[in-house]
Amino acid sequence: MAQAIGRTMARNSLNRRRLLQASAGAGLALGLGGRLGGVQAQEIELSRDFEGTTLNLLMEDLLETTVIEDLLPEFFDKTGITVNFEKVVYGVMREKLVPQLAAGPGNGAYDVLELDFYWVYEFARSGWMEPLDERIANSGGAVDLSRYIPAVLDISSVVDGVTYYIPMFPYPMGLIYRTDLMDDPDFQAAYKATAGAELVMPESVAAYVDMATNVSKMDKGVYGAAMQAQQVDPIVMEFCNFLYGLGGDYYNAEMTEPTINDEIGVQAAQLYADCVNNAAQPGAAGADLNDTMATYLQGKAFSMISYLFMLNEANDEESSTVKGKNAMTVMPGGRGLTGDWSWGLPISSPNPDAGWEFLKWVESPEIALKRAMAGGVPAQAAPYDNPEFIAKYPWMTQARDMIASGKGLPAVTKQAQLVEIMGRHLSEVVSGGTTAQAGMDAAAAELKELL
Amino acid sequence: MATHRTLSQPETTSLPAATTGSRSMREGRRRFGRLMTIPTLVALAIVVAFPLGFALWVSVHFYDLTKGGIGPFIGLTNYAETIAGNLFAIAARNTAVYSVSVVVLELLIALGLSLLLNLPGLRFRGVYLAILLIPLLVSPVAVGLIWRLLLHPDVGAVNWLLTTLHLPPQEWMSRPNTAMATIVGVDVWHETSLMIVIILAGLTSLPRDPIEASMVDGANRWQTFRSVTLPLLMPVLLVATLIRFIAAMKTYDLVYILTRGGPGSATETISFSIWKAAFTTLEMGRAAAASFLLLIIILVLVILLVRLMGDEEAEA
Repeated sequence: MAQAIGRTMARNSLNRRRLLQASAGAGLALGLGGRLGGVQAQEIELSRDFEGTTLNLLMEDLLETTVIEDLLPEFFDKTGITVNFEKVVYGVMREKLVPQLAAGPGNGAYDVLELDFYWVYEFARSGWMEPLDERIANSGGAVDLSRYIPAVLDISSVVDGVTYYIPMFPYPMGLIYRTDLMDDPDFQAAYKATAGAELVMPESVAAYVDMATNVSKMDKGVYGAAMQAQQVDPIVMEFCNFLYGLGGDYYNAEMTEPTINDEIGVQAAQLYADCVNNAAQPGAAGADLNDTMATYLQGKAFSMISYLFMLNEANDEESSTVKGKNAMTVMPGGRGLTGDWSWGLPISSPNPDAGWEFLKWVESPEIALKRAMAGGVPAQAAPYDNPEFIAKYPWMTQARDMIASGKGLPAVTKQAQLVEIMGRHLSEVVSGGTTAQAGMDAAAAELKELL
Repeated sequence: MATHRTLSQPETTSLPAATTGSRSMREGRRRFGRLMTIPTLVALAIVVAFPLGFALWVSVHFYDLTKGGIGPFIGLTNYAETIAGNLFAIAARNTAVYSVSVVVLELLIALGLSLLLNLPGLRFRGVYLAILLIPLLVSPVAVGLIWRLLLHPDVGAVNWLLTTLHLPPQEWMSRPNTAMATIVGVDVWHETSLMIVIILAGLTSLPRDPIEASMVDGANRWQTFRSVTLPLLMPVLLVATLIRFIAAMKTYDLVYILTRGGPGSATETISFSIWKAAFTTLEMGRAAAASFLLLIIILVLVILLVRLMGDEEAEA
């Protein structure tokens, strides 16, 4: 098991907002113009042929977007291209994108896309995305996929052997837990009295559910787990960790049959339902990420299976009551879900060439490192080898392991439908409307239709 | 000239000319009237008929956004597959339960409150009315978000109140036995105001003579209400029911904000399933077919209610 991460971060009391502010305040270019923390910045040639062009991008309103937005004047200075970010919440992104993508060549509203990892097959196979292999080959090394962590490329870059996307930033999931409680002798003693065993980091999914359930029974004012079982996206993202941690998957390796209703799939569903119903906060069955974050940040939960960025939120000085008391480790069982955002050029883009200039710039080693230093999670490998970056974010060494071992969703065209199907049936299992076996059987029947 | 016409001249000789003149004038006016309706008809054709026609056309074609443009004509396949699907049956049942529940509850509550507000000599009527109308001014999405917070199982005010009263807290939106009731309750909170506006307007416009006459004849308040006020108010109640029923059948926003159709499919309505078909599975043909099925269901109900209203008016 990878060493728990975050303890050093806790000591340093780092958080993303502070980092962003500090980076902006000090000038992001400080020390990055020539040598980037020991790594020579590769000069990327950018064209001024598109001067006066305005690029429109639909972006999720989160830190990575803000970081890039703060760097945009630099891009304008180099190319004369104005970039306009339309920032929205995640829930409406796909609804806004799809009609634009289907508008036909050059007729869309967005020039460059930011895509979540489970839209990549659907968008590429629908013929909405421009294959990027030729552009990459002709970029003279400006865009080089060998710079990226291979697992991220597998998750959200290549579809059917063609490169449609460039990774933007990964968001691995793992086990976040309270170090103050884990190391507290009173808490350990109370746990032993309740569970009849020592409080140790669980090495399997079943052991985690058992531990979280016992913590909830302890009457110590904390729930064993803060969970997000609202359908459809939250419950499926969380469940993936249980499934992958047990070694299961949605389909067989040949992608010919669903395996979600095999022994492991049913066990994963049962353990997940048990965890929601016996170990999590009240209302976890209808909770989303914000609810889970509220529960955890108020110090009401011992652990949560969540995203890497939640570790930063938990250690946020402004809003967290458990700041500096949290660490993160890989999902018990050794493998969790890794999501990823990536860039792409839609066929409907009115300015694909100017959009490509933007991609060359934003994914250049120099900008990738600036983004990382400002609090982003790099998809490229180089920042993880950068001493300044690791000194600033020591837990990122382990984060890279989580990303590298992580797994995305199966390669079906309609991954969003897969998430909807699984969300509906899992919710049914969690709410007691059906058994784990019956629920997964019903899910498997629908998943087969997606092949 | 007609003004110099003598009495001996038969009147009938001039009538055809006058009739022809007025007839042609009427004809001209009709033509002018028809001409003046053309812009309206064109506007209606653009904003109503074309989208409906296009949706109908889409519903009989294979149209999956991930497979390119509109595909081949497939007749009623989309309709057949939608009706045969288990999820549509569940959504239809949920929609019926939801619509009947909210309309009945809102009608009863609004009628009761309207009668109270219509009491002669009631002080602070304007204040009561203003308070009761506040929910109507809030958008459904805001209503959903407000109640999502109030009903939060862990930090919500409603569960806090329950525990203060030594009652067990509830998982309002995440359990099959409470989720639908919760959405119905929130809708009742939001939409009863509309019913009050309609019914109160009806009550204040009722003739006072029959009501006063019944009281002079010795009828008590209940008898007056049952035998005089209610029959007179019936057309207004039917209109209010019709308006709310149509809106309830199309409910999507509250479901989206509060439960996303869950847990499982416990609160999935037809409108929500149409949204899912269009924006999750991207099957526009299926979504259009489901939309038309909903339209047909609503049309049938509207026709039934309008006929009922006609009967009531005839009886009145």
